[in-house]
Amino acid sequence: MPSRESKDIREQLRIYVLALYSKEEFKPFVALIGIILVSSILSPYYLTIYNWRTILAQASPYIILAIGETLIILMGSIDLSPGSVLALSGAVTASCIMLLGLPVWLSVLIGLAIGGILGLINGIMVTKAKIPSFVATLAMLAAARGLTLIITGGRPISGLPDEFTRLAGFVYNIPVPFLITLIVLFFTTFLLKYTKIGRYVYAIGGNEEAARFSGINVDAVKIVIFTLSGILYGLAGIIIAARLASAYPQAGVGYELDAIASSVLGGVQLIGGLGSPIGALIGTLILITITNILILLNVNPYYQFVVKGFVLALAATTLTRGLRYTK
Amino acid sequence: MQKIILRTENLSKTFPGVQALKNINFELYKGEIHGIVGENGAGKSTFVKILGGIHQPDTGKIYLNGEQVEIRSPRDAKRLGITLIHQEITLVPHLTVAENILLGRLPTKKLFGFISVLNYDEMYSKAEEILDRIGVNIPVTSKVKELSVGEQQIVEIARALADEAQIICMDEPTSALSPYEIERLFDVIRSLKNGNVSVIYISHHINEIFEICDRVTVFRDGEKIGTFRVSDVTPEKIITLMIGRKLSQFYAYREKSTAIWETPILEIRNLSTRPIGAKALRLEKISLKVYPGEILGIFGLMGAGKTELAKAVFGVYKIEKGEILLEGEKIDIRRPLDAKRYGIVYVPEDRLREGLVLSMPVKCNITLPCLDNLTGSILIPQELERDIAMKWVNALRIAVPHIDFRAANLSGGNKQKVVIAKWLEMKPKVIIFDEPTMGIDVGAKEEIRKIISDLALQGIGIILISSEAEEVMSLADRIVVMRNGKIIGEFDRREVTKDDLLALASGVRREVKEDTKMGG
Ligand SMILES: Nc1ncnc2c1ncn2[C@@H]1O[C@H](COP(=O)(O)OP(=O)(O)OP(=O)(O)O)[C@@H](O)[C@H]1O
Ligand SMILES: [Mg+2]
Repeated sequence: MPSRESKDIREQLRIYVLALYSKEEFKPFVALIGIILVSSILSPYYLTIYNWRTILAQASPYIILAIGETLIILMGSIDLSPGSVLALSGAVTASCIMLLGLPVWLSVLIGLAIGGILGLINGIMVTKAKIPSFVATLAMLAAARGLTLIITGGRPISGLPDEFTRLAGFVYNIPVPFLITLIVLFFTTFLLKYTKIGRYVYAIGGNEEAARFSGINVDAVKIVIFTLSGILYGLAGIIIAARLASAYPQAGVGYELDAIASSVLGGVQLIGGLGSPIGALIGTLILITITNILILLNVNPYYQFVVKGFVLALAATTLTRGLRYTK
Repeated sequence: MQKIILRTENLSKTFPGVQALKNINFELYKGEIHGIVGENGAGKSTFVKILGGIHQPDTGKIYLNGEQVEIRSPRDAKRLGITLIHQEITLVPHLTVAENILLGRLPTKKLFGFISVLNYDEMYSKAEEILDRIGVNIPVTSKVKELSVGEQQIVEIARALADEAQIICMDEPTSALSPYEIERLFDVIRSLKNGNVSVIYISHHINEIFEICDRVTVFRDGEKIGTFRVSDVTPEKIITLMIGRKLSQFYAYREKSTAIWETPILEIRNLSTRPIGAKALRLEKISLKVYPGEILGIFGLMGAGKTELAKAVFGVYKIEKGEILLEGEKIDIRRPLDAKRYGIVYVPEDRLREGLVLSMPVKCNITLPCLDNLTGSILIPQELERDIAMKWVNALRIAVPHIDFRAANLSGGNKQKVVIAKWLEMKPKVIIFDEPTMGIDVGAKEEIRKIISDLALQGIGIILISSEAEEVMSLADRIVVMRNGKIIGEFDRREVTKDDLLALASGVRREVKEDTKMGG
C-alpha cells in the first residue's frame, strides 16, 4: 500500500538498519575492521602512529586512483589508463618545474590539466567514436606511457624542489596527501549524492538504455566523468612525484589493476550502478593493509601478489552473493 | 475426487518491509489448469517463484504427491518436475529450437566407438516428437532468435516437457502475444492438461482465466482469499474479491473529448525508416495528426510497427524520409533528449530495458527525466524530489513500503506504474503511451485509463498504442490501424467496432483466428 505518512519510529529505525546492511560498502567495511583487528594481534607494530603514518601516506595516491576508477565503473565502463595518465602528469609537472622553470603552482595546474585532457580524449573515444571503454582506455594506456617515455627520455626527472615535495609532507603526523585524499573523497561523494550529474552516473551504470530513454545526455555525462577521473589520476601522479622528489617514467605501471581491484573490494559493482567513493577508500585500505602486515611479518614480497590475488577472488565471491540485479 | 499433486501449508514469505505472502494453503490437482489472479503486488509471482526454487519461504511446507519437499534452487525444482515460465524468455537465441528444447539432455552417439558426439538425427526427431505432443508445428532446425515471442514461449513449454515437468507455472505468459498466438498458446495448454500435466496460470486478463482454467485462486495483499471452480463464479465476483471493492464499470467509455481541432499539436508527414531490428520491419509513409486534448489510438497486432513508429518519433530510430511538426512548426529530433526538450515523451512498452533503472530507488526513477526541468542548479532539490516522488506514488497507488525502495524489488505491475509516473511531472505536450496497461491489474488499469483521460483534458496530445482493441475503443477519439509498418485505416471511434479493428489489423475481413500468421 502507498507509504503511510505516520510511520512509527520503530519501523523507521528498522528500515534504516536494513538500508545500512544492504549498502554495498557494509561487508567491505566489516572486512576492513576484521583485517585491522587481526593485524594488530599479529604484529605489535601495526597499530603504532608511525606505521599508520606510512600506511596513509602510501595509500593516498592509490585511493585517489581508485576513486577515479570508481566513477568510471559506476557508469558501467572501465578505465585501464590510470597508471599511464598518472605517469604523464607527473612527468609533465616535473618537466615544467625543472626544465621550463615554471612556478610550482602553475606546473601542478598544468599536470592536472594534462590528466584532464587525457581523460577527455578517453571520453570522446568512448562516446563519439563509440569505441568500447576497455579498448579505448587500453589505447590510452599505451599512448600515454609512450609520451611519458618520450618527454622524459626514459630517465627520471629528479631533484624536485622542497616547495613541491611539501605536497607529500606531514601536518601534525597527518600526511598531506591523505588530507588531499579526504578532500577528493568529500568532493566526489558530494558530487555523486547531491548533484544531477552524480544521479545520472548511477542511472547510466544501472541501465544506460533507460537513461537514454529518459532524455539524459548520456554522452555529455560520460565525457565529463572521464575528464574528472583523468584529473584525479593526474593528481595522484603529482603526489607520487612529490613523495619521491622525482618523476619516474615507469611510475604507476600496473596501477590500473590496483585501482580496479580496490573498487571491487570496496563493493563497487563492475556492471555499474552500485557503489561509492567511500567503498573505493575502504577497498584500497584493505589491499594496503594486507600488504603492510605481510611486510611487517617479513613475508617474502613475491608472496604478496599471490595473497592479493587470493583476497580479491575470495572477496568477489562473497560480495556478489545475494545480489540479483540484472542490467 | 481428484488427485492432489501439489499442496502448500501455511506458506509465508517476508521481504524487507513487505509481507509478500501470508499463510498460503493451496492445492493443485493433477491435470488441472489453475488460475491465480490478484492485484499488482498481491504475491502471485512470489508464490510461483517459491515453487520454482527462486525464493525460499520463511515458514510453511510444500507437499508434492503427498510427500514433503524442500525446493532450495531452480535445479531442485526441475528435478521435482516443476517448471517456471516467466515473461522474460530464457532460451539461448543463437541455438536451434531442438537444441534449446533438449539442452541439458542432448542425445549423443559414439564415433569410432569411443568419441562422444552430438546425435543430430536423434535430437531432431526427439524435439519433433515433443512438439507434436502439444500439437504445434515449429521447424526444429530454425534458430530461436528467428521465432516470434509466442513461438519462443511454446519452445519453453516444450523444453519443460522434455524435462518431464509435472507442473508448469506460467507467470503472465500472454502479455507479449498477439490474439492469434494467444489462441495457439491456449491450445498447447489444453493439450498439456490432456497429458496430465498441471498448470498454474497467472494473468491479469480475467477473460483468459475463464476461458482456459478449471479453478481460480484469488490473492489479495499476500493472502489467499479463496479458490473457486470457474463454472461457479462470475468475472465480476472475482474482480470484486481481488480488489476488495466493486469496480464501477468495466471499460467505461471516455467522455467526449474537448480537443481543439485547429492546429495539430503533433503532425507526422510521410515518415519512412530503413528496416529496423531482427524482423527488418520498415515504416512506410506514415502520416498522422494529433490535436491538443485528443487521444489518438494506434491499434495493430504484435509486430505491426507501432512501437517502431513511437521510437522513430522519439528519436531512437533514424527517420529516413518525412517530417515531424510540433504545433505547426517543423522540428528535428535525433535522440530522445531532443524529443524531451520539445515536450514529446514516450512511455515504453519494454519497461525493464527501456523504462527502469532497477538498481536505483523508486524515488530516483520517478524524478530521473524531470531533474533538469526542476532546477537550473547542479544540485538536486532533495525536499522537492521527495515531494514529487511521494505525489506520484500516491496518485498512481504504487505499492511500496517507502520511496527509497529499490525498483528491482517491485512487482511487475508496480514497475509499470513507476515508468508511467516518471513522465507525468514533466508536463509534456505530447505523450506516447506504448501498451500502458500491459501487466496491470484491473483496478489499476482503470486508474491508468483515468490518468490518461485527465492528461488529455489538460490539453496534452496523446498517442495511445495498444494491441487491446477494447483499450483503444474505450479511450481514443480517433483510431489508426497499422499493419506491416503501414497505416491501413483511420476511424472515428464511434464509427467502428472491435471486430472491424481486429479484422483489418490481421489482414482478414472477419474470422480473426483463421489465417492470421504473424511475421511470416
Ligand atoms: N526481491 C524482493 N525484495 C523485496 N520485496 C519484494 C521482492 N520481490 C517481491 N517483493 C515485494 O513482494 C510483493 C509481492 O510481489 P509479487 O511480485 O509477488 O507480486 P505480483 O502479485 O506478482 O504482482 P504483479 O501482478 O504486479 O506482477 C510486492 O510488494 C513486491 O514489492
Ligand atoms: Mg508478477
